[in-house]
Amino acid sequence: MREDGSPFRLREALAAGRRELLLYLATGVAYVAIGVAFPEVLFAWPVAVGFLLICVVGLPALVSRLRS
Amino acid sequence: MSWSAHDLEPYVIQKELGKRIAFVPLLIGSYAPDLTSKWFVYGVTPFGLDLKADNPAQFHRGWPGAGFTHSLLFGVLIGLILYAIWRNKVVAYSFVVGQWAHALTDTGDTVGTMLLFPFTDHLFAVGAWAYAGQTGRYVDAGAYFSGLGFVWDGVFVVWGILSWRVLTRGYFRTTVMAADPFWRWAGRHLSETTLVALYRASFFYGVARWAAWLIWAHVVRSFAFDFRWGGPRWVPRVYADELNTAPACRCPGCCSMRPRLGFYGAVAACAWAKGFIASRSGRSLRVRGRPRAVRSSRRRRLRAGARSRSRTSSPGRADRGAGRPWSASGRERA
Repeated sequence: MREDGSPFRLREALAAGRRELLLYLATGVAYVAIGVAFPEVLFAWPVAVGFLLICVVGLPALVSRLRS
Repeated sequence: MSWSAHDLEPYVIQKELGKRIAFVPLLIGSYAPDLTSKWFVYGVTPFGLDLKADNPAQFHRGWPGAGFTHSLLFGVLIGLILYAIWRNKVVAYSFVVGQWAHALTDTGDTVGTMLLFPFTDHLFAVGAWAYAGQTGRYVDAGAYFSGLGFVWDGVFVVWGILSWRVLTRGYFRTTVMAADPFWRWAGRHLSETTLVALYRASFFYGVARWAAWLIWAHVVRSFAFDFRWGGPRWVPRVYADELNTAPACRCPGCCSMRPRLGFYGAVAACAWAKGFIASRSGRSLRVRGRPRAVRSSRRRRLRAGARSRSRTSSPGRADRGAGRPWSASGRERA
């Protein structure tokens, strides 16, 4: 770890949070697809933040609760 | 106007300044100039009521209008207000840095920004891409993502990705949370995963939106690429010299915009700042007790005394390290 808390190499960062990165990428792809179909969505920052929170925090929490 | 740069600039600045900047005020500062005016530029229709500026460019960037939000002094004023409320220098100047980044980035279009308002209402414009806010948000988006505007945003997308360290959880925990009181407060109510997602949200928004608009403009719609300076030729644009041409108002605020009065104002502000700095430095000298010249001569005398003492007691120098296990003499004795 560096002094600022980040890993030294990109490879280390990817290895540590591969699942998280994939989740963000999938969310991004879904948001882009929705945005291209309905461009009105792209104007609202709160919509993007809400979408991100639902996909990155809400859904994984729901899945883990259902599994347990 | 820029479409994604304002979302991504804070991450690049965060990478450069680390713990010396607070992220939330930086981000709010980066959005601040457009926060209260953009909706009126493109127009909204709440309950069937059509709300839109008659002259969107004049309202957005000019005076009379909301163009003062894109001046450097506006950022300083809001920064001072934030400092008066929170008494936190980092919060105050983080806002100023964000707002200045926005104001400077927006000079890239054909209208530009009134950077030095209220000293002058001159619009500083580089003119690389077209200001087409008056054509509506979709044509404006099409024009922006068909000219140099999207290249400019692309620079920030690449720069933001190269600054990947600031997006890691470890960096957020060690650097961002340490510098910004907002995250410490929010951390009492929300999980770390939620905080990190909120922290990354604008980056996500900027990059995803850049990609989505690019696809929309050239795959869904077929706006033609045109990378000429000033934006695509097919879009009607507004230039800086078309703004601020209203007959002169006689109120003190408007009068101060005249160049000569602006110059006098700048001279007065410099004189005041110089006097203020001089009085501050005089006070700090008085607090320290004696002038620098006296202090330096005393230091010189002390140094000379120490040198003469060391010369007379040079044999004792070896003994000084005797008690320490890592010194040669100490090891020999051991």
